[in-house]
Amino acid sequence: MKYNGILFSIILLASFLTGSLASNRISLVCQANTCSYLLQFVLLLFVFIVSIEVGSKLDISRLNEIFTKTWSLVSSTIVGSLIAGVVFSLLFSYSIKLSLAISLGMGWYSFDAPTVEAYSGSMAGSLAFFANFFREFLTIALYPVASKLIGKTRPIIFGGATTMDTSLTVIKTIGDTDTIAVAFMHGAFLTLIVPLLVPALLSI
Amino acid sequence: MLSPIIPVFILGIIVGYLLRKMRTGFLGRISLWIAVILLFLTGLDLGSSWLYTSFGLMLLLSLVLAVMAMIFGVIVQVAVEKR
Repeated sequence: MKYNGILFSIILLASFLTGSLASNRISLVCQANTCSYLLQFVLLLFVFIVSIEVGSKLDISRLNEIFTKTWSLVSSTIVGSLIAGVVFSLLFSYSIKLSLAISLGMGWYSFDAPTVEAYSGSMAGSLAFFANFFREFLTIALYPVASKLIGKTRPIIFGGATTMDTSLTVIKTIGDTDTIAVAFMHGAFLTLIVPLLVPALLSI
Repeated sequence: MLSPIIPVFILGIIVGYLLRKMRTGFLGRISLWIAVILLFLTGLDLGSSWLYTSFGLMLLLSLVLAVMAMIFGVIVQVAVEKR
């Protein structure tokens, strides 16, 4: 069976939407955080299998190149999010600190929304949730198309911190071993940076 | 969210590197179907409230901010690569 990247991405997107729509009915079964634990387990299983695949095709002599590419993407993701925060603040007269705190969540809605909410109230927290959620959602939806237009590596920036878990699923369907390794490291670096950056920014 | 993922990834890389002589192509197909289950569970965990929210303006603003963050990141990357 041959796997078509874009077709599989549509299946992934449909799966995500089906899960969202089914949540009302299945929530009766998924009590006491059962679904969250199951999600954690499946995520770890997915990461383990993907990493075995990456490791089996890893060319150690190219490790330096992969690190350079990752660092370049991480820098662009941070700078891009900073510019977006500033432009958003100017366009919609939002506080610059708040706009930056939201945009620098870089897709990690489960961290950014509660953090922003704690500092600036529920309205700002909701905005942080949706802005970061849409970043993840749009990455899943747009990565296949964007990878055809601007290459497989550049659209990794779309995913921000989520490229080490949720959006790695769609990157994996299109990307080669190098792209998967870069995407994971990109997400991992940003996942380390976001919890330092956002609270520091909000406490200024 | 962060803690177990990085050690698991590093362990997987080491296991994969040690098994590099073996055929691991079937893992690619397995991981794709695990990805489908993973995204279904993510949707399930997140719930459906975001689909029916009444904060239309907030949704629009957050969409604008998300798209800008994504596009500016790519523009910066292209500029860096061209230098």
